[in-house]
Amino acid sequence: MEAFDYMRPTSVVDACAALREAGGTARALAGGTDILVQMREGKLRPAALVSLRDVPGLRSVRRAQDGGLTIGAATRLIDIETSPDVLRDHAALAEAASWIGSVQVRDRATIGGNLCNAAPSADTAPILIAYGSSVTISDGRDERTLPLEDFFTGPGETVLEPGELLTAISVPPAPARSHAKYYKTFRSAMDCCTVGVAVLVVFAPDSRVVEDARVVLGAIAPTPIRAPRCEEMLRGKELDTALMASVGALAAEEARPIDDVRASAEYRRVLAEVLTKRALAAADSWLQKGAGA
Amino acid sequence: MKTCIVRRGLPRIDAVPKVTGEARYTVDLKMPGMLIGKILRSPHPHARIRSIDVSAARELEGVLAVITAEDVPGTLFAFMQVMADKHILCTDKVRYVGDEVAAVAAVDDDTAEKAIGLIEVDYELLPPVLSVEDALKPDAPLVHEDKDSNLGFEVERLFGDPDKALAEADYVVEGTYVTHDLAHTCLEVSNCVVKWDKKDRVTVWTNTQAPHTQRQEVARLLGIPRANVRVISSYMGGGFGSKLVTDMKAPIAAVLSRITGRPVRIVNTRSEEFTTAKTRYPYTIHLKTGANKDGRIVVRDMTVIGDNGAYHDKGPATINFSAMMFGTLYNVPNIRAVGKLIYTNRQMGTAFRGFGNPQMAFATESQLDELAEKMGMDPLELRLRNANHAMETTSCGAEVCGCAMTECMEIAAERIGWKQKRNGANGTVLRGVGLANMVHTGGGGRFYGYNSTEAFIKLSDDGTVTLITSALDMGQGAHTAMAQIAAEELGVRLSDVIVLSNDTDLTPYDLGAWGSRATFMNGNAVFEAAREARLALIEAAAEMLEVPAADILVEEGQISVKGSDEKHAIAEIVDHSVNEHGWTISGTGRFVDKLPEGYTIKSAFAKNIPCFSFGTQAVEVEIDAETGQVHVLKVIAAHETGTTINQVMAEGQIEGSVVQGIGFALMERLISEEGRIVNDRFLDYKIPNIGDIPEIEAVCVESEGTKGPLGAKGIGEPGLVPTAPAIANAIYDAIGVRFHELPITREEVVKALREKRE
Repeated sequence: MEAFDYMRPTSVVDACAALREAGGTARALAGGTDILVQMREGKLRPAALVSLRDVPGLRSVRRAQDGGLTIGAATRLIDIETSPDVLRDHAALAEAASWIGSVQVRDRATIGGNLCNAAPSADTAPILIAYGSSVTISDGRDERTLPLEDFFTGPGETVLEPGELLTAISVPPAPARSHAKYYKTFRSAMDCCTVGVAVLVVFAPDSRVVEDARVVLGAIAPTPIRAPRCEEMLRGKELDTALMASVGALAAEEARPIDDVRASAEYRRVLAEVLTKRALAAADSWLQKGAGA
Repeated sequence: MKTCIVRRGLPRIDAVPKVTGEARYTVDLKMPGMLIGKILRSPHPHARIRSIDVSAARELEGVLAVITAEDVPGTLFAFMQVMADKHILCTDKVRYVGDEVAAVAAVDDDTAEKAIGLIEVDYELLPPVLSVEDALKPDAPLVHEDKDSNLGFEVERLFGDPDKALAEADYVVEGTYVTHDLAHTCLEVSNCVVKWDKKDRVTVWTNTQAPHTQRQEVARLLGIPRANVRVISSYMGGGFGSKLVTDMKAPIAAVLSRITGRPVRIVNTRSEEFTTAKTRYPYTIHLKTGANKDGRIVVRDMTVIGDNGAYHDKGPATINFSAMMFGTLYNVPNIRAVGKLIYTNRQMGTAFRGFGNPQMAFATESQLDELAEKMGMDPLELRLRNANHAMETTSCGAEVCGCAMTECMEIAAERIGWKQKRNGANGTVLRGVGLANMVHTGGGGRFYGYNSTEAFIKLSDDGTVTLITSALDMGQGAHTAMAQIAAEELGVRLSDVIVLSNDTDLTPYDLGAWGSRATFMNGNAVFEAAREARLALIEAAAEMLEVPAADILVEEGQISVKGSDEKHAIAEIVDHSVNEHGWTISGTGRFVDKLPEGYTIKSAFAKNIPCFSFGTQAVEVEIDAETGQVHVLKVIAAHETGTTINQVMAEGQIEGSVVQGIGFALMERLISEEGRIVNDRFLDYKIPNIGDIPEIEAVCVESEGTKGPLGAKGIGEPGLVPTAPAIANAIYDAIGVRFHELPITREEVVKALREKRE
């Protein structure tokens, strides 16, 4: 491992200043479960690590009156997994967090880290996008907010500029009569996902008709992607088995997978189809059981 | 048999230091003045070295030595010297990605790494041979140009008349089975510290499974007398066969130490461990089995093509052993076993838990189910009709002593619910059950032309028992087993026994921990040493207490006289002996596994095995027909132990083996592109972890008739042998698809199901 500077600022302002001064290769350090491994493997050679350990205000989950969540970027996955505020209306996010690594990893890893590492397979991204989440980015003076789906620009790449820090994730309230589900498949337990699919379905009042839907695919393109044609197909239709199968088949078409050591592109398409179908079936079965009542 | 210490699940004697982190492994070793050595490895699978420029590396501050082939002895080496084909550092050619080209010693890790980056090698790329098929083509490039072809080794064994039997058999099935490239994935990577001292003695601290043979190998490589080499091992984080034959780290570190006068440490990175620490030999097995209407298997005929990798290691022995187990599993009158080892530009293979037997069992036990189907017979019934029985000699000369094969089958079938669950229900989640048998050595082998070892016991004046044994503990619990055998025979508590081991200056010559050998071989020597010490103790006690020796009892570390409540500490007896005669009490044990009459290494075949161990595994699987995911729900692993020395540890050995067997069957695989391994880390080399491991019911089936200590057999390897075919057979039961190639991945299952539908 090559030598690097290590800084421990005590405010967001100082953290951004430190990141800016160290230039483009500086990285913010939260749990370190991705960064330190990549540094050891020589894949990442940052000039400086800026620890967020002493920066206040980045480690919390707040639930607003309307049911929306504001999650500090340095909130640990284990705290998201077990948070009553998350579990209340956003259980699929808690579940997605619970599928990352081992307990020991989740005890260190943070949600902001999972997003900033920008792996196409990041498990929290698809479900957060399905919920319609946005991210808050600070440069120490000003903040900007953008939809999470616009945050990623490629494998390991985000819109963050030198001197910018992801500070919070905002998750809107779960719509009435909505059901969200994230499914992933893996080669062994505690593996990163081969394919992950998150689906949010909003049902019209008193019916099985889909009012709105979001379908998000992970590990199947350079970034987590929405599947707009799937969403379009769902809208205004009754969610029956035939529709689930058609949307599943369309998800396989909308995917842009590659062959790699984890799976072939062809198999990833199969998984996209199966998981999409299953996430829709989960929504249907939730509705049949009385929509969570 | 009434026992006090063995047959119980006593906690292992190294449990506390290991659990608390107090135990120091070789990889934890630090010494004053110690330098860090690193090896420059070939980035190409096959290339000629035109030149090497080390000048920039030599000039780097903090670098104390840089060496190439010119600086090391020019020894050609292989495990079997007659097959020697590898230099310490490559001279003119590199033959796989990872081949050793140059090395440095520096003050720290970063400097050594930087120095490695400064060495410039001019390579002339040569076309590589990356598969056995390519290597066998008439115009294939030669991995070793001094040889006529890429055929590295060939053997053929014949018993009966297989051609005639195949022509006459009522049923014949034929198939080709393929197994793959697998890593041992030891938690402690291969590593060493070497000090070449002023008296020209080379001390090697290393995590080896065989300190005494490693000592010979290091001496041979360096061209120095064996007496000048001392090998010391420590607590060890796994071996599984990968640490039997020395690799080039030890001689390289030795030369770096001689040049610098300081101890030099070389530790594999995890990537080096995956790419250079050797693999299980991939096999392609062409197999025929013939049977008659009465259900008797009359002939088996197989040709194994093994991928040797770039150099010889344990390949010939592995192929031979596979053939022996092939010939022995069932008593089949007509057997042909042909084995070939092919050089390729791949990482070398080596020993790996099961020694060729898991590959073989995948083929033979899969094919047996195919045969049963063709015959319209229940696969369990077919196996029961062909089971070996105690005290029989098979057609290939295997002397089956104690044998619980039938019992193992019955236990496994009953507990998995064979009758109820075969040909189970359908839906998107499909379930099935399957089983497979195995035979393996339970006591090493006579392959060196001998199989023997010694042990020593001394009783200190405080009554403590010190056991000096060569039994090597790589995590399997050999030290605890030895201490239990000593305590049992001597009549002391387990906590009274201290085990000294793993320093070649201290321990008797021994062949090492392989072939499920330690319990049987070292255990027998320990038993003899304990018996001798016990007799000496009784004699001294009888003298001191003035009673006949026959009336002396030694129990739980105390001496008593029959019919009396009076107890004496062992220390009192030893004290008496010291004061009266000036000597302490000790025992020497020697075990020589007697060679059968007319034994020769060449002809012995299955007579090389002193003790066979049988077993059966039955597996239930559940398959997600859409994703192809195979979930192993339950494994019943019934294995013969003779006498179980430690119930908990024996079950642990079986469970650990089954887990590796599941990895072998379903997920583990080294993936190469153009000769480069691309999944050289645990992120992408998947082994089963705690979340994947099903309920495993390990059943230790005791049997009589073996010559092991207190009747025990080795149990280190057997559990891995039948797991893969049992899973493959269960998958067939669930979805009606027969897999002939491992691993059976999700993708393969999905593909196969789609083909079946079409």
